[in-house]
Amino acid sequence: MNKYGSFAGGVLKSLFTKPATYGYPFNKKEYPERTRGSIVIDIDGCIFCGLCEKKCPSNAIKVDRNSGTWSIDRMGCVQCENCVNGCPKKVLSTNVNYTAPNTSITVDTFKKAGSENAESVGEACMPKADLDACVFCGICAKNCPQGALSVDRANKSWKLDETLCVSCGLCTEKCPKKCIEMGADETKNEIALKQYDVDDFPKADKKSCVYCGICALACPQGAIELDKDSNMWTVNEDKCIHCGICYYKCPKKCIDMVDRDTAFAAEEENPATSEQTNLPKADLDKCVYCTLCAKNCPQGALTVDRAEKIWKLDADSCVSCGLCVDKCPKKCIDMSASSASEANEPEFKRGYDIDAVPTANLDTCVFCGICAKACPQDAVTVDRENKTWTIDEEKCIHCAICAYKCPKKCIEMK
Amino acid sequence: MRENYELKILAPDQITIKAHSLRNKGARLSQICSVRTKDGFDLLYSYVLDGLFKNYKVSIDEDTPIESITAIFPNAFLYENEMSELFGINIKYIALDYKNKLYDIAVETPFK
Amino acid sequence: MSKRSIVPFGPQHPVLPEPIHLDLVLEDEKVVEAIPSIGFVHRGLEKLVEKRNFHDYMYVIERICGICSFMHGMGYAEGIERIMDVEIPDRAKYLRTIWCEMSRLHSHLLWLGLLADAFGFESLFMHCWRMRETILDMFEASTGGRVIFSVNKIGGVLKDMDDSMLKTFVDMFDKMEEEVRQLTNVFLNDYTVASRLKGVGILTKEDAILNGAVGPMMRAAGIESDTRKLGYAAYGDIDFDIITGKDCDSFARCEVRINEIFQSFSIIRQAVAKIPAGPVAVDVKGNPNGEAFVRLEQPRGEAVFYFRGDGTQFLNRARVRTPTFANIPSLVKILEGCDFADVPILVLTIDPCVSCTER
Repeated sequence: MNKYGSFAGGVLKSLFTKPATYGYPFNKKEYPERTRGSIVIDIDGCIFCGLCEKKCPSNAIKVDRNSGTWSIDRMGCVQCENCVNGCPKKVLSTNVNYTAPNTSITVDTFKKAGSENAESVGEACMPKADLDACVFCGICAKNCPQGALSVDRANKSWKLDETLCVSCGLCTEKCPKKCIEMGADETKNEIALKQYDVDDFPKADKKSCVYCGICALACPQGAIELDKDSNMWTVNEDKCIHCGICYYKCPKKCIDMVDRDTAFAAEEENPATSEQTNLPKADLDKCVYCTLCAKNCPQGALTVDRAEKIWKLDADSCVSCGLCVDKCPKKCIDMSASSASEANEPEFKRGYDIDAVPTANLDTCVFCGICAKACPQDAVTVDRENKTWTIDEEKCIHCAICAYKCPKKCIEMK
Repeated sequence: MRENYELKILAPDQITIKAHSLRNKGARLSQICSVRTKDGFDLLYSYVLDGLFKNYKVSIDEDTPIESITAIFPNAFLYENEMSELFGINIKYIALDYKNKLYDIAVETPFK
Repeated sequence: MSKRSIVPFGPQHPVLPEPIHLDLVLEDEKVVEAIPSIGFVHRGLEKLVEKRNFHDYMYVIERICGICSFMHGMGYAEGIERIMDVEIPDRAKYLRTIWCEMSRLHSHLLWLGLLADAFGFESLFMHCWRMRETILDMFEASTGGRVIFSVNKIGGVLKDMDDSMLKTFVDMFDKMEEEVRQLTNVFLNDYTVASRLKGVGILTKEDAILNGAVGPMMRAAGIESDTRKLGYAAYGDIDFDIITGKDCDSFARCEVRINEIFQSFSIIRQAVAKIPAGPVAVDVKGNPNGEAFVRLEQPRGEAVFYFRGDGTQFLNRARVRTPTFANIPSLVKILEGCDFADVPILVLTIDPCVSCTER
């Protein structure tokens, strides 16, 4: 091969061939069919289960169940198709065209028609299995993307965890015996109806009512009106259809279905209102930041961030309805905080004197040194090799953080 | 087909002796990494000798000092600098010591 | 005794392909010592493993690098499949092998282009990248993305290539092989190329072992070692030789990479001929509990992956030791005693990929 002009042939050829480039923007490229350009949603089929939001690795998708909107940050999306693969209803798909460049962040929001409050309740129906036809094969449990079903073949039990269910309907599709149905609300309504007459109206017991507004939201006819400040709770006689959903949904179980005269009787003067002023407080050691309490809060008073491990309560919006306590799968919330600051801070048992000094029980102490690290004044010295634990009483400010942080709980304030 | 590799446990004071013997046999250092466990760290040294992958796991506490093997394998300096910067492991006598400025990150020892 | 001066090189420089910083100690145009500095692209991707479900972490780990993206995803999938003891279907193994070799092709063509650009031969650089465009179009037609494929999953692959698509690809490769051969003849025979590459950056066999060099750096020094011979994916069923070089200089490394290009063509042809029919993925349930090492041959050398899980959906540790991380000490060694004008060539000859190095 010629040492000095080895590229000459290539150069001559390129003089006479047409350019290898496309001439964009006059000639646009034709993309092959598999190109991952942008994500497209068929919003009418969406059930707002929120699985795409959980799967997105760059947190670009936001799903709001209550208002029926699905939004995607076009600039944050990396076109990985994880949401498309994970959608149980297959309403997400990929379009070959890329998002156009823009000088600001583009967020596209899609809203389902007719998806105001009533729809969200109607959509949230739970599956129910016909236990006579069920063979306890467990296929529904294996396919549940949330792990909400537990099926035991030996004991012949079929259980649904309603806090985890997102009403995606996959179990209904996968059941080989076709014995699962969605819409257990109707069944529950049947149970509710069995306990009262078809002409009965709801009436709230003002002593236990906390004015959370869940009954008003749940009412498909919008027949309930309430106002916390004026202690008002009324039912519109013409609109009420006696379905009993408000009776079922009330978290305080303070609504009763009574006959017409009792429901609309004149009210006593100055009815005593409930003294519920306690706020919810989460045990942050048990909390897994699943966000179920925040999702179910009718006032939107809770902020839970899974990534940053934050649990915060807005005390002004909280109506102490206690729904978060019920919905927590870890049962780590109780209504024991009496102020916003106590709700948001870790519990600190102040059962000691203001001058008390920490002493470690040397039998149970493992000399891990966590107390020494936590001490803000560096008053604690732990020597692992020589197994000694000393406190400098002059530096100690009696804050008891060492006692709180000790994993073996072997420090006492005396 | 999955590779059959060796994974043996070592004590912290045997690290340099093992490195010496492998260097004499002509092995090369493949990588050093560390994992955070509940009470301390696990260090994993990997060597390749005649095509065989040999790994050694050393379990240490948070404060145990470790001697560097850069005197035996000069290319260990990058791995040891990374470990001491990200995990806070105390490694002494690294040949080229960046003193926590290898990645120059804003947070100190994020993996600890 | 001449005076020494220190010249900082990088991370921004017209001829430097990757953001690495070198402090060069010069004595009259000869480099006496070089001190590397990395950390300009550190994104902390290994820490993100504590916050992403292990299925979703696949999308993070394949975005460590744009050139070796598929092999990072494949290493991750193989590691988790080893921990959870999942056996993937044979067709998935062959598909992964084909995509791996196509990745190696496009990475070596990219490197050849950058090498030509480093010594000023710009038209050769443009021709090499024009060849590479055909491969990127093939990736887009088969996986959906030109650079990041998102086609690996734990338990197999997400997309299939049917027989007509495979046949089209093999025909395109046959046509491309002729054109690539004409280009590589320029690299191997031209007088100007040879004068810039021959005798530059010598790394002897002993130094290569001592400094932990991997990939073509190691093979050009005469060490016969290729991680593909371990037989992961479908490499156990395919016939190929280990390509080595005799002179330990930059020209030998260039030759090794060029021969690897033609070897990749032959491996792809064998894989397409032998690929079996069947499903391309299996379902994986449960969480990983245990630890595993995986070794792969990326275009730049041997990559070592280490994963540890404790039974929850978040992994405990995901560690990637990329080949450039192992080659930096060799770079420091070959820079000692070279000419100042040869520094860009030497930085390129280790085939740096700094986003891999720093994750």
